Amino acid sequence: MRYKPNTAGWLTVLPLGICLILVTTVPLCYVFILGLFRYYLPEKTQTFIGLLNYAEILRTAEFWHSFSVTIVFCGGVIFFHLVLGLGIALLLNQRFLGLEKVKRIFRTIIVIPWLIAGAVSASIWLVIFHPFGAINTMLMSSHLLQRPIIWLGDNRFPLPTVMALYIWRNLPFYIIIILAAIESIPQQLYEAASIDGAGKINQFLYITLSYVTPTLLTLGMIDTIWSFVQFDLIFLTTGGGPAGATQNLSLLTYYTAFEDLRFGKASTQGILTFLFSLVFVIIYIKLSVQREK
Amino acid sequence: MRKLSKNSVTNIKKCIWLASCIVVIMIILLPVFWMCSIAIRGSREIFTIPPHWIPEKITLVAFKKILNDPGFVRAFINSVFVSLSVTLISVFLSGIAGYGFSRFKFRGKNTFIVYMLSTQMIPPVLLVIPYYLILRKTGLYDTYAGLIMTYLTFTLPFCALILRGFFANIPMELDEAALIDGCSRVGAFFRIILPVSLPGVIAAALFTFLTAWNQFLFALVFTSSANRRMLTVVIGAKLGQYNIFWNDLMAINVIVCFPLIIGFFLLQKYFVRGLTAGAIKI
Repeated sequence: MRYKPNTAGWLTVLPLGICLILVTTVPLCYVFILGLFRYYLPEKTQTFIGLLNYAEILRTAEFWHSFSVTIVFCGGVIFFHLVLGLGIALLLNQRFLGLEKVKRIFRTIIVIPWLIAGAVSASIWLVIFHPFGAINTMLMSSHLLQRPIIWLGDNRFPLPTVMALYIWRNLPFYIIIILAAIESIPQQLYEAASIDGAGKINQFLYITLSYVTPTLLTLGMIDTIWSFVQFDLIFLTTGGGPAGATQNLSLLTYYTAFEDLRFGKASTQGILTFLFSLVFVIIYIKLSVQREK
Repeated sequence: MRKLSKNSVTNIKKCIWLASCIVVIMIILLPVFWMCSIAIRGSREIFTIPPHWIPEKITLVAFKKILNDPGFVRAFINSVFVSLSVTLISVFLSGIAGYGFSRFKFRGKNTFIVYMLSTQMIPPVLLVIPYYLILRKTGLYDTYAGLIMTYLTFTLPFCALILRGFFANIPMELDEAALIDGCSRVGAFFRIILPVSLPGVIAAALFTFLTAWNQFLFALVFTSSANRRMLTVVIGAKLGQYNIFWNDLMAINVIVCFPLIIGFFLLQKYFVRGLTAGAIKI
């Protein structure tokens, strides 16, 4: 039996399409409906209250606090991912005769942190940043510290510490993608530039950077989407504490739903999180499109 | 003479490069090394001041303890079963769709791709809320079926985008030759295209397995009984205990991540290609 390309194309994507609609779009619609109700799980009654949940949540300080935690987390993480990613990718990209094999080994093993489960990396971090863990004992035995720092419980360090964890865990992804982008730059460009007398710095600025920028922008967008809704690393290390210092929007939503059991309110918080991340992504796309013009 | 000095300059450069690479990689891998180093020590040597990089006494006591714990073995089997099922379903559905994307032009194709991409932007925590209620109502809460279904939300689009990239790299002429020789479309897919793209399919499967295996939030919320607990949740529960044996926990960690690391090394080449194809070529 032969089909027209149009029909055949549709037939191939139909199973996936139906599955995707069932597993993502249906629950998504349901959560939008839930957000319009007052739904406290133990009571089992749902009262329609329109947009009151939204009005209420946007007035609470807790929500805006979580929002600012999310923004700080997101911004810091993206910055370090891109800067460190680019730096390490440039380092790994150096070409030396006879060292190709070494280079390949380096870029293989550098991926390991990215393969590790969030739960695993969170527990490693808890050991390393434990008050009597490796970091503190090292700093203390080299006399840089008098007393141990409580990295994940103090009021200054928890957010930077979980950010460092997230940066560390996902960095390999950025290194690999940026490295792939750098390697796709035609070598002739550099040869031509050096014949024309361009120095290393100018070559970097005008060739490497301008070639890599689209990739960096895409990666920034991917990172916005991912880090905006980061859950497991923060949940497992600080649990949002101390006193909400690391409680981002995802954790706030989770606690509203599964500790306070207020499902209507939690749905609204989740939707707002989603909408905020969408706004950032759209701004991001707008900015990068403008840049390309 | 001049050539010689030039050589020695490159040699110095090589050494500097090598040294800085090693330093960077050591910093990046230090936490992983620390995990392994704690997993092979006895409970006495966990918090020594100053810390011993390599334990004085290497022992596999923690591994023995973990492997004799029925709860852990059960969680391991659960994780393997759920992740494998999710992988099989995702690769099957996305394989067909990915092939269709790379071979046919049809109306609504780009809309569908944008739709797939946009589903990846939904915060997991947003889907957890309706799913919890749905699974409770349908009786799928705390079952394998419920877990597998919810895991599909993030593996399906991801897997389809990667496979689309792989199939697009296989020349159309291969299908055409098969069709001319009297093969049907389905036959061409199974006899020609699938064998050729097998490495890509395996890499996509490994990717999917990885995301399912490492998933935490869904596993945490959608299971409650000890019989359905996943590995990541076991680790999470251990972290919440007052008195943690770090060496046991790190032994669990080693067992959880080493199968994936080994799998990755074996399929490294395809893995990186899939990563770049799936993430960037949108």
